[in-house]
Amino acid sequence: MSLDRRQFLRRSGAAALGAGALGAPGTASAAGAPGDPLQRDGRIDFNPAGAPAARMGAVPFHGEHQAGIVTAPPPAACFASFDVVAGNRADLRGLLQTLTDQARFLAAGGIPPALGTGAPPSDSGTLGPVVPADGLTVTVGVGSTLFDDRYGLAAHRPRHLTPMRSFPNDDLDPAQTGGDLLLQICAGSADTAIHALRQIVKHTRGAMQIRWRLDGFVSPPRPVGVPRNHLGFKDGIANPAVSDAVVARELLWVTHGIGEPAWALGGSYHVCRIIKTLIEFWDRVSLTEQQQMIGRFRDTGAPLDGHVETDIPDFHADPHGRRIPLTAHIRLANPRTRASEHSRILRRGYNYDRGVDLNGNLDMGLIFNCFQQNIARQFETVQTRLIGEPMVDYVTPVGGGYFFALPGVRSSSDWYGRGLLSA
Amino acid sequence: MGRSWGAAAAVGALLVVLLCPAPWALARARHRAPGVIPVPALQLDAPMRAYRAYVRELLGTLRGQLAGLSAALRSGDVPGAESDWLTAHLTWLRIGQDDGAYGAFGQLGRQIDGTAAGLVGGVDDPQFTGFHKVELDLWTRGDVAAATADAAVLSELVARLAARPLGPELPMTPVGLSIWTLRAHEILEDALRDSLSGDDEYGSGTALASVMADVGATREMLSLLAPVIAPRSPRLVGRARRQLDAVVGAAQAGQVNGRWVAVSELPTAARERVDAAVGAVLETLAPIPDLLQVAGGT
Repeated sequence: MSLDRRQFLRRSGAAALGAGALGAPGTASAAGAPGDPLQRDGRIDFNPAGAPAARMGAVPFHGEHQAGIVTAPPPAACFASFDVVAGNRADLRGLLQTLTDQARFLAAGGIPPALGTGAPPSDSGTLGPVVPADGLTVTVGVGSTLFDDRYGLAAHRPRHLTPMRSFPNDDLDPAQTGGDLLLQICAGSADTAIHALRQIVKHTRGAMQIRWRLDGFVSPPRPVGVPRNHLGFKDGIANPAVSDAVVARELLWVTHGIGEPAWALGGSYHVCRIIKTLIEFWDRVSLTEQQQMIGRFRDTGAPLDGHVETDIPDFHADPHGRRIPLTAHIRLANPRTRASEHSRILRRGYNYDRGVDLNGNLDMGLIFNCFQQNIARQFETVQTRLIGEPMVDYVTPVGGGYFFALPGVRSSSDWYGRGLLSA
Repeated sequence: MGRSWGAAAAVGALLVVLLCPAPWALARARHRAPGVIPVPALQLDAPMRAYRAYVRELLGTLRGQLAGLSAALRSGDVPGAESDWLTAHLTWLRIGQDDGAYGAFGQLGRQIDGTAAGLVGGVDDPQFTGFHKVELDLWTRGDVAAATADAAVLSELVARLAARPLGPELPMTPVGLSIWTLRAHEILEDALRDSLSGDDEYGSGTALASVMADVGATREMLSLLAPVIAPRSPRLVGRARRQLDAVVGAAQAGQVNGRWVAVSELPTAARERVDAAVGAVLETLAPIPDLLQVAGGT
């Protein structure tokens, strides 16, 4: 405790003792005329986003799969990747159980435990005395490094979980790449997401440390439809229809019969990529060229052969790329052929904005997230098709990692990774 | 950096834009923006020929300078080699072509002046070659033997480039010409993105010297294109030239005791002055590719 803090405590103690003697009667004369407008308090109208009426409800925490994958992305998110420093397997188990307890409480909301006057409060209080659920989801993924020799998990690594490879147009910074455990925390507002991160790290400090973190947001529709990214284009229009159980089974979840360890069933591979957008350069490029690179109209989100964002581009009718260039992002990413359908990914991106680069440019971009059954067959196949696309001059992947989003926590007695640590 | 495919597509897109009465076009019609008169390809013939001659001459100069670098390394003259490296690197940058895989020099450009970004093995990847590899050897690792071998590779890469006809890479077609005019602003976009960010720094601390060479290349492009820019935007070239002078002034002022220092070590005020000057001229240069859409580009 610092000297300043001690002096503050001493002074506040003295004030408390003196309050009775020096109280209200004496203060009126010192305060000037009661009607003095310079002494009156004004009111500011605050953003109603967090008000009870606007708050999002609770997303069910228990289930076969974790929340935060097929659930609609709420406006705010924190991504935090951790290095696990737990000393042994038992401590890792303790970490995952604590993480489960915290996430379960935060997802449901409620009154934080009262610890009495003998301890600092159990909750930071940033969401008020009653923690609202506010659409909070905590999605836990594990990186390939957790399966090294520290915890005896090597034999149980999901088959396709590796360190994230560098693609030719990447410029990965090791300080923002990888990690043993990823938390994707999404919520109805930024303070809810940050509150959750703060509570979780408070209870897990000895067992894991943050390696990198980044906050994101989903913009509101401008003016309607799918939200836009920093390039000004609607992003995330084409996603597989995972509400269809067959599609989800084929593309999203780890299932029986595909050679994965039994504990991993119900999980999904999570690729998280921090993709910087070089918006200064982008803003110096003509709209025509921008649209040719993306393959969509900026204003509407419609493919260049369509009129509205929901129109499906007909590449088959345009084999020479006269309407949508063969190198357009949407065409390379999803050629919409029978052969490419098994490489489809479920995208769940968040914009980020974090200050300024050394060269004075705004440091902005996309926290690209995709979920899939098999990273090699899906994300890496898509990304390989995108190598050298014209867009690469304007976007630079700088970090992120490959993670395996654990199977869901099934009940109040279950916990993240129970199957893995019991395997 | 280079966006040849995008540019080719953009030129092709003009037709699409004309044929498609899409909703966005209707929205846009509310604010009538000025049009631009396409440039007849023939008017870019002389500038492109002049540019090719400029590149040829600089490649010849560069080969001589690289021979000097190799000689200095063979005799163990490290300060001489460092000086030769900088001279040669600035000559390369004055050519003003792309070091990425999609520019006029293709993969060779990247091999000659690319960074280790995106290579699986990073700076130890066998595909990491060229100026920045030699820079790493000399300044960061102090490994003269590696520098000697890598300088020989660099000489060989430049010899291969010099032996190639420039035709296929810088073609006289409308699309080829459109790609070329992009360089009027992209040379300095590269400076901002790669040099002033510190991303292509491998120990020499010469990013500001690189920026000055990039200014030289941009000036050459402006001189060649001035006759076709002037009728379409009478004040652009003069304004850009004044702003380029400001970049040079700011970059020179960034020397500390007559020596170049890395961008990350520059005093904030000096760095901000350079960033401001480069950012300002880039906004002026950005319209050039749009002003110079080549007739018959579809």
